[in-house]
Amino acid sequence: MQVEKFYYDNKIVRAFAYATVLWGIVGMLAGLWVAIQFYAPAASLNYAGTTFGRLRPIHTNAVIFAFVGNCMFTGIYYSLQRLCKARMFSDLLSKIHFWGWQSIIVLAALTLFFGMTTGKEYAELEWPIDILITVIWVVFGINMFGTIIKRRESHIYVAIWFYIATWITVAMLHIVNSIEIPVNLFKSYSWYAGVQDALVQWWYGHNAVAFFLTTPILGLMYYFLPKAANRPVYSYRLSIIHFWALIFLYIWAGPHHLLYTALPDWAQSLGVVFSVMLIAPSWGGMLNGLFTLRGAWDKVREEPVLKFFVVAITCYGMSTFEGPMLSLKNVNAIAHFTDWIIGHVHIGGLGWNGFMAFGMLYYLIPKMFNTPLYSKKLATNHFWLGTIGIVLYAIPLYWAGFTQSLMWKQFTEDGTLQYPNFLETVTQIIPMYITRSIGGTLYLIGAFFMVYNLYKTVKQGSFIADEAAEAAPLEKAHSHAKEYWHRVIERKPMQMLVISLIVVAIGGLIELIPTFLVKSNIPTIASVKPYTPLELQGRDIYIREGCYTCHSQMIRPFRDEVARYGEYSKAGEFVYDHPFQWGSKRTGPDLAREGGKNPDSWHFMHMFDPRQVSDKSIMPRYPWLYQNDLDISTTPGKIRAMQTLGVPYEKGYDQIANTALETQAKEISFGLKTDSKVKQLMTVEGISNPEKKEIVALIAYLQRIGKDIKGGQKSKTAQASLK
Amino acid sequence: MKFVHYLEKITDISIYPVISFCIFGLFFLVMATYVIKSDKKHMDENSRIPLD
Repeated sequence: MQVEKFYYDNKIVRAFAYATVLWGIVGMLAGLWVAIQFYAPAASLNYAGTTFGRLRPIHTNAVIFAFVGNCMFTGIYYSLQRLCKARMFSDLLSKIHFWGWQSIIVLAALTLFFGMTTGKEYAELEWPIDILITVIWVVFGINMFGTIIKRRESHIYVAIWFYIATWITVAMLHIVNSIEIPVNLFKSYSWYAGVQDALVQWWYGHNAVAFFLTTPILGLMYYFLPKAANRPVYSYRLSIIHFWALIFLYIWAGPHHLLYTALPDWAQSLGVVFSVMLIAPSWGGMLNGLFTLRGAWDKVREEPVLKFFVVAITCYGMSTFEGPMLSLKNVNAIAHFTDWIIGHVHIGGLGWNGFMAFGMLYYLIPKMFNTPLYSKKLATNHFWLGTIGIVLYAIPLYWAGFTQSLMWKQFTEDGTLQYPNFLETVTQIIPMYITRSIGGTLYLIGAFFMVYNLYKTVKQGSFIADEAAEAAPLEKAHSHAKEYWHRVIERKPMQMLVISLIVVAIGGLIELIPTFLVKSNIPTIASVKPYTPLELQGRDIYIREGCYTCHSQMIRPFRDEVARYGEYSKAGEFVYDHPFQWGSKRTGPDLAREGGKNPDSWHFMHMFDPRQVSDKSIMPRYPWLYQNDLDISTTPGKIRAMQTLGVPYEKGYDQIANTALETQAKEISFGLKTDSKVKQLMTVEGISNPEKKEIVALIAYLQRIGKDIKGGQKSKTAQASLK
Repeated sequence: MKFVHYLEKITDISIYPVISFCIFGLFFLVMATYVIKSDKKHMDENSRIPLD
């Protein structure tokens, strides 16, 4: 058969590779900055955009979607062409994909900096950006499938299956979790409320880890590891089982992020069981990777690329063992809301994603520039700095998590909390926070080594923009009558896409449908009422400032939590919460019963400067809330949006909402002015008309949280549990 | 503390985990059968695709 000559497009790979490096450094710098704020709150600069609550989402979005996202695209655009023996389907689509994705990243950074957020972790971006993501993702999909369809290789290699599953699942997750009702261009409310919102969000959040941080990178592992080691993967059979079992099981495990919460118990149990089962395919994949190097370990000693891959795959194994362990309810009871989770996540982020990205870049750049790597020694130094950085990052956080959790749960012989002041449990772990940031710094320095090394490599080489290749065209249809069905779909990308979608949709549907359709899943509580307009505005400020990044609103039914915070949280309390604000980390105390705990004046003084109220507090200052006037022009629109979502405000309430808002603001302001400390602060700082300022709305919200079922009427849930 | 009432109010709630297990069990068996019965030569060829 006539052999065809064609060219691989390396330009697009280079573009994504440079973007990976750039956003990696930006994301890590943001991470280091937020890490420093744990022990030096002044590092927030007392400026809204650089405060922890806004900077942390910038960090997470930057490393997940910008760093790992671009890394994934680099690897896919490089490997897909070679595995398909075809140039990308369309150079134009490649460019649109590249520039579209970079625009999304820039828009994300800007909007998060200015506090425009949906308040849903890892899905913080507002609706116009969500739409843009969808469009660009479709462009990527067309380009990828177009390439697969015009391939010159009969079999679709297993790495591509992972890419296909990634594409379809991320599309499904993104669309389902991003259904929201816009209030204006920069603000929307989640379509779902409370428990349902939490379930959808963590179904998304967990699977974003699975299908954005794991499956595409596994695809890269199945391509780049054999390439770098120059030997085929250990067991192709195992890789098939790895793929199907992994994508099937992963999707069910989301509820393990919500153990002991107000989520229905059956959904929690389902999440736990599938999480534990997930060890099998994950470790199958890890072993498949490590065994690929059997008989080639001498190469690992000399080759930095393989060093990075080995540690990355080991970290993948550690993370995927630890994950299921953390899903066990008894372990989760200790670990959840603590720094243990941050340690766990960074074994995956720094070890698995980071090291796979570094290894891949060290492999790709010299290949595309037709030159050896500038310095293997420097790359090896990067490897060691990074590895020590990971250890120094993770171990202190495991220690911190254990320490703090045990302190939270410690009772005296008299049956009272040993450490009733939450702050005591924070100051205890400050040294661990410092050590963590040293670990992060080492890791970042290592990354700078890589930037220099790659820069020098690029300088000394000459770029092959279009790499020549030859292959015979694919033979047209021949009979598959006696073949297994699987072997047939291995050649048919669309069938693979549809089957992958069915496989991942099963778990999601079985989990989500009952929670949405069975009304009794969320028992209503008569005393729970919608927020007043001022509280609603205050809640939006709470979301804007990212308070949920440090404070949970979910009291689990544990003795210590009930003693510390008050009655445990009920599903019915959150029916008007669009979005839910349960949080996932307690750097500060839980706020689910904050309403009425402290007077308004305390909040006024505390938000201005937490250290004036609680010595050694690590909370940032929020001075701008005392200067910014509350924008009440949005109130009618917000009320109407809530009405559309089913919140029972009376008809026409949007027209009178601001009157109610102003009345409540004046009441709070009047009370504040009677406090001598508040008066003094207002005089010194020149704060006038507090009733018009954002702080009053925030105080109104904080004073409302969890109050509906406090004291007076017991909920049906509470009564049921007492029987 | 128990969330017993949730379980009581969903009719036949136990069917969900059972269905889940059955689906996965079946799925896994079919997959395992295919993999075990598949041709070694074919597998070796496929595994060499990145190296060609």
